[in-house]
Amino acid sequence: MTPRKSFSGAWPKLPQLRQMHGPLAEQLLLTPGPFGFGALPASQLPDTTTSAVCGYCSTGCGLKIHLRDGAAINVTPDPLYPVNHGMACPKGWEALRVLDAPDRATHPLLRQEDGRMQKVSWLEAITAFCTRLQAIQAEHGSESVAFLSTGQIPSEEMFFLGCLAKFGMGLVHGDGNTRQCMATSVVAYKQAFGFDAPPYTYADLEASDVLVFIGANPCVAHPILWQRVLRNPHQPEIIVIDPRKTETAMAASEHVSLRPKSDLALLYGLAQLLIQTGMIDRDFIDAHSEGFAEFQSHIAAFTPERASEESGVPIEQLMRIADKIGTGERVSFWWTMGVNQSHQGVRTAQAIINLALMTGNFGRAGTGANSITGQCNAMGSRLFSNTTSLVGHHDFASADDRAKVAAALDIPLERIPTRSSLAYDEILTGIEQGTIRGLWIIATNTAHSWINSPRAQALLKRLDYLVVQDMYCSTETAQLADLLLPAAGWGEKEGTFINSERRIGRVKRVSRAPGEALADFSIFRLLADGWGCGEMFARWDSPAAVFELMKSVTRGQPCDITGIENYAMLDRCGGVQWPWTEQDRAEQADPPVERRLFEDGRFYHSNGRARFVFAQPEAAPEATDADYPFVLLTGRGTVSQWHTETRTSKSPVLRQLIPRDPLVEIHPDDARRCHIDAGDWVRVVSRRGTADVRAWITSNVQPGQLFMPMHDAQTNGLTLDSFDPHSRQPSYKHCAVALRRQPRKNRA
Amino acid sequence: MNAPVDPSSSFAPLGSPQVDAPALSGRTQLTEQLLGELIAQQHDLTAVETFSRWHDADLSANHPYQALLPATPPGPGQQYAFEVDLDTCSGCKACVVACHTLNGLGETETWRKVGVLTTKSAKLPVLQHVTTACHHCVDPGCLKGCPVLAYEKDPLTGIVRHLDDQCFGCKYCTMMCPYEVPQYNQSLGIVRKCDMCSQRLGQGEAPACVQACPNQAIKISLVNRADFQRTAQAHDARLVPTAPPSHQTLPTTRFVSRALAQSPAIAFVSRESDADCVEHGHEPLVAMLVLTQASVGAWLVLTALMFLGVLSARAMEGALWLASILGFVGVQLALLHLGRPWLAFRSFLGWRTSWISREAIAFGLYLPSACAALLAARYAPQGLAPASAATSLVGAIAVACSAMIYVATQRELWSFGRTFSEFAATAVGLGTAIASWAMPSTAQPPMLIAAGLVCGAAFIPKWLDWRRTQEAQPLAGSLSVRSGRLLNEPLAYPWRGAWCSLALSLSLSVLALLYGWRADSQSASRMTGFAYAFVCVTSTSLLFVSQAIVRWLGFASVVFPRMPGAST
Repeated sequence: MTPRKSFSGAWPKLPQLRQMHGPLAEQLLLTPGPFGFGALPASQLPDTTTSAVCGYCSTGCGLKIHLRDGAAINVTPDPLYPVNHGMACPKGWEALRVLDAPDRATHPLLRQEDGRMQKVSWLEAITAFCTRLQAIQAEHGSESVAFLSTGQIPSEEMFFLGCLAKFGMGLVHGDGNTRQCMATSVVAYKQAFGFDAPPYTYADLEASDVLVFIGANPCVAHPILWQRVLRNPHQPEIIVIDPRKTETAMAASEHVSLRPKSDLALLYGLAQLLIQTGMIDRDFIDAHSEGFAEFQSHIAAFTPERASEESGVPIEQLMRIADKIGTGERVSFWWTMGVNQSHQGVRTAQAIINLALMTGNFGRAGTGANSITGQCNAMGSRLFSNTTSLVGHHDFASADDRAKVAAALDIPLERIPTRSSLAYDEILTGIEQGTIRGLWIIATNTAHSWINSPRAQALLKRLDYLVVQDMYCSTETAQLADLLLPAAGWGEKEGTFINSERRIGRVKRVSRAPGEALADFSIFRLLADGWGCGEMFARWDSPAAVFELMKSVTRGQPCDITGIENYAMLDRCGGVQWPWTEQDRAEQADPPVERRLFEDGRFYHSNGRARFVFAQPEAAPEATDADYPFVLLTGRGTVSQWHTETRTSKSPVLRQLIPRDPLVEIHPDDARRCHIDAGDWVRVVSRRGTADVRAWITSNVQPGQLFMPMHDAQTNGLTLDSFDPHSRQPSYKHCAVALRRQPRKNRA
Repeated sequence: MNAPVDPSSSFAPLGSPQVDAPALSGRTQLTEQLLGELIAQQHDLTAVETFSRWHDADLSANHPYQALLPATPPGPGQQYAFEVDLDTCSGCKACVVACHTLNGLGETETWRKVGVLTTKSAKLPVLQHVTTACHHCVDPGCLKGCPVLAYEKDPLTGIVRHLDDQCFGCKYCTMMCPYEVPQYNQSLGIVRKCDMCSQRLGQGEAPACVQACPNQAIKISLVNRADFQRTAQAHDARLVPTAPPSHQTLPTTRFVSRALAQSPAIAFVSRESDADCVEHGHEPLVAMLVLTQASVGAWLVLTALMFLGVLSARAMEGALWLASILGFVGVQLALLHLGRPWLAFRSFLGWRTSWISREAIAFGLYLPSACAALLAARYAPQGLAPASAATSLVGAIAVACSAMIYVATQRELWSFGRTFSEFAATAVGLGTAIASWAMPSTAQPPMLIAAGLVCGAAFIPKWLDWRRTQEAQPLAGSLSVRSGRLLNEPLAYPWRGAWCSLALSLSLSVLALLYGWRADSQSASRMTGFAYAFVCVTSTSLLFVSQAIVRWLGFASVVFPRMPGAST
């Protein structure tokens, strides 16, 4: 099979009648890869490799980066990383490809008086940033400038950002796009456990005998976690509670197709059934929880009949599920955005926690009330973004906490604000009220992703000054910026991410950023310098140095990571889960690969007990009516799409894997009634906007419900800006819409 | 919840927030220095080496995929096949991207596809992803159709391989494969396809898709070829519901699924079966087909007229030249369809099985034969009759080969009856129109009308498709109705355009006929020869346009059973 060598360079060869081998066949020739890789295309052989954690979702898969001459040429999943065992989803496989795009921001861009964006030097950009925002602060008070951060940048960067903005620049209000994904779980855990602490490790997926997924579709949203479910050797019962028949629901042994947003009543009904049938763990409840008696009397009203009536789930099915949960030995509960993005998300998440508490499903392998996070570093944001909580998950209002942080970071105590930030929606409302005048948005796409996006866009336009710091100059938000700061992306910078199971992993600079784009970390250093607070951050000269500071603020907290020596240890151990204290390190060199919390039954409230928290269910804010007869559900479309697609749309092969046109899923009965055929262009209308999409007719949605993927910018033109009152998380998954056929558009 | 702006808020300002000009310029120098360092650092990748992990262990040695490969090589009558456990396929498409990456494919090239099956039954909601690649058929359509022998089926492994350097990019295999597996690569000018990672299998390594599936849904198994002959031909077997019938090529992939087995196949729809899209119109092929058919038709009609004694050799010589030139141009235009036209000389190689090879040979004989007849017309008129008859016969065979190219794809809308009647109508209709040019002026309008009516016959199959959509209860799922729907909506304009050009041509010819009669009876304003020529040229051109559109619609509106995922 060796390719034929051409001996004559000078003479063009006459084409042969039969040619078995040649230059085209050689293009696809494979050679055995080095470093234990299998066969690789001959043109893509690495001369060395390194590893890094993927930069999309919170699963936090390990990737092998193939390097040649120091630069990354390819990515394959890391077979030795404990999270993903050599597998990755398409986004991970294509992680490098999206760095190379014509719309990468390569130079700072400054809006001119005629409205055009003009390329400027970094010095001009920094001067514009500082003078404009300082002028706004001088005129309207220091808290008239706010920032919106992200769950997509390394912890070191968000830590720097939060500290620079609040301690250096005097901003008071800052929030992140993690408000859109995790805020509900944070509040739910904090109130129930006394600390925002997802208790699980991924091995729990493999150890359970009953797995309950609520408002979660890991097959699509976290495909590599689904891999862990399929590795479960115990033939587990898989219960999926979701209005739609999703991929995960397909694979379930029991799909509970409830009415949208009836989950709280359903979960209380299950709790009531467990109590009625005596399938609760009295010993655990007595030893490790408080408030059960009050909870018990609260849910007495949630008879199976009521739960069934409100959720549309047959009583027999409710009893069957209650029985499975009650009799399971190792039951784990998993939830994602279906719970978090709700008008009563916190109480729903706590209803799940309550089920785990009353059945004693904590602290053992295969148990837990487990929130699967969204973004790659949402967990880092929860601990280190310095927005809602003071860095290290401390409290701005606590003098002790402020003093501790000030000492650890060598920051003057009076620079630390004494109160928490406004939430994302409150910052936007502040723009409306004129109290927020300048905004700095880092690595998020508010104009597309925020709920009721037409309003969000109008508010961003109303700002005196909008700074956007992003990898791409084409995002809907970057288009509105007065100043665009070009940022390096994943793979072009250093730092750490924390995944859903609290595992801290490394990201590395393996690719050159285009033009003058800089790591967000470097941008923060420049801005600190330009703002005049460079002194305060003189020690913050590398991500590794900042990692040491991050460690120091966690000392004594449940998330204590003082035992992590350095980055090299993270590489060596395949990531380290928090907590890992100095004391732990003194006792054993390296942590076990998989660790879960609460094995001793002690929770983080001062009395060591977890709390039952509950409330009355409330109806979703926008009911359907004659004009808007459908409920619109939103969610992830395919594995190959990430959020607003600023990155994933840059990969030609990922683009092959998604529907060409935006779509809406319609139940066949509704389609028939509205005279809609599969593939027809239809218009979805809400009180806030319209969307033109193609109809996909399927009984996976229930009658009266429509489903639209969130990746299309039109979707949030429809959604209703309603929020969970405790977490301020937007309720993306419920609003009333109408549906019309578009005859003209079908005749393109 | 909105805090009012409070200048004396909890935050104690660090000096004046006002911009201090001298301080800023001092800072600028510092910032500039820092900026230089940071930009240099951003482009310095040496830091990576600090963290590179050394691989002493062979990572692949204990890979779980070993269990996903057959323990022994195929025995006699056996071959390798993909086996897919659909119950564990969650639709993540890692297989698609791993295949793309590990095989170094082109930017948008994917040899594996993932489709989705669902139902419209409220009682039976199903969402089943289907991962699919080449099925390494027992009787591969690609191999049979290839005119240049660019496919081989490995006698030992049964893997159907494409020989990239042999391919000249005719794309016929993309029509012959019911599963649309071969993919045309525009930049290379050839098709490429999955070879089951035969290079990897040769080294005991699993194919890329098998390695990359997080759920171990894909494996390689050994199958007996004889089993497929029996089961696939026995009844209407399909790989999965909505897929093309397996008897066409005997695909070897096995899809295992509880969810699909529980429900009747009729219940399922895929994106491909539910919402049809407009296919490629293959314009060079349209031009080639219409021109060669007109050419052959003209030879046939003129020869017939000669045998009937209506036309003399002299009178028809011009029309024969025109017909031959059209045929020549048509054959040359076919080259535009090829990705690597300089390799067209290979096109006869597949004559044993490929109708393209047979067509190439037939047209290769037709043109010299036409030249011989033309020479005879000029220099040896007594030889014209046999030479014309021979040319017409060879031409008719060539057009029949053209038709068989499409019939051989086994697509229902390209059936023998439909294709032959369409092609014959075009040939005879346009041939008659061209022949009319050789006729005396007054005979031209009636002949053009006849030509128009025959050309109209080429509309009948498409018209039936369209007509069926107008019925009160269109037959759901019928390919004809689905094709008719395309004529109704996305293709409404070309479809109407075809009718308009036909109607215009006929109206012009009828007007000329009526005017000619009236003029004759009054003998005052006689229609000039020039006017007749104008009518001939315009009316014939309009017929050409109508036939070109109908042929284009034949490609663009074709609907056939498609594998889930084929349209992605």
